[in-house]
Amino acid sequence: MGIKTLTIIFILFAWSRIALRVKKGNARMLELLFWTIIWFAVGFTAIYPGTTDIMARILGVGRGFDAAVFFAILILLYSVYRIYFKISLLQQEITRLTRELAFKDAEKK
Amino acid sequence: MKLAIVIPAYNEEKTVGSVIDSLPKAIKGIRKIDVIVVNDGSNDDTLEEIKNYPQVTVLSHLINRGLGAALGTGFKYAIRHNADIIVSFDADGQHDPKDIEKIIKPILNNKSEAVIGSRLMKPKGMPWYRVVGNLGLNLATLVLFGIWTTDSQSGLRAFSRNALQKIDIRSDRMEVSSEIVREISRKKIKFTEVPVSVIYSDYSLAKGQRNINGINIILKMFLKGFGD
Repeated sequence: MGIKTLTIIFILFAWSRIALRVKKGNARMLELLFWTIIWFAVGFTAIYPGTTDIMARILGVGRGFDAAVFFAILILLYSVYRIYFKISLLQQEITRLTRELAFKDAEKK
Repeated sequence: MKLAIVIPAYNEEKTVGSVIDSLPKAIKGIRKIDVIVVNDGSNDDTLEEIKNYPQVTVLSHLINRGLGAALGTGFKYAIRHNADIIVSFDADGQHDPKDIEKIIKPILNNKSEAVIGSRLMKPKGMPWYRVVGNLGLNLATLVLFGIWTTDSQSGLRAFSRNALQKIDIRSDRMEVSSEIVREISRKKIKFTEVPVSVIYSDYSLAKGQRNINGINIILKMFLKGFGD
């Protein structure tokens, strides 16, 4: 089993997770679309590694693989950034909730 | 004029009672003094301790949300209940209650809308490593938010109602002190610093911020500076 097969199996697994979440209503359709594009791109480059060389030439890096790593890091960074802001938003909401409960409790007395 | 003294308290069972006892009962130019203690999800008997004081308004967070969140709760409550001047005061006993009158004076005289009680205009009693740590945070506040204060981390502050309504607190944790300074600068609120004394006991030193925490505060200020 080569890296191609392993990558495809991983992609199918990862894609099924997000598809399942959308089906259950825990994720939006837009997220599914986003990840479908990402995983499709990853799968495509795994099957036709030559295509990354075109990207590499456009980007000015040596090998196709380098271009793929470049994009992978970019996507990872973006995901971390998104998660950071989602979490800080969640924390603000928890604080608001805690605060309103404290007010309610004080007004009861 | 109605004054609200907001005291955020997290695991301060040893000191919160004596801090409440020590607060001034009357101040010239002030008609009424409301004391608001915010118990920030303490694990010890802080809440029981505060309940011994029926004259005090108790706001209790069910879970610990941090200094910024506790201050935000106290401030919002004070504004809702028509306070004209709002003071923040630490629960660890490091402030001198006599300084309250000093820091609200510029607001009463219409000279300022926000006052920070600076512990570093006369840093007597503060250990040298604290002075250095505070200096680092002041420099970070200057670089990131463009405003110089001698004590950006002070817990003793006073605001007019109008000024506090303009200040938007989003930080839940310790970086709130720098955020308040940033808001004062951004909203162009007229502010002054007044020297206050600091009572450093082994207890308040152990409770305060360590320098390593300061690095964390700078990091969060940095992220926030670009975040919005």
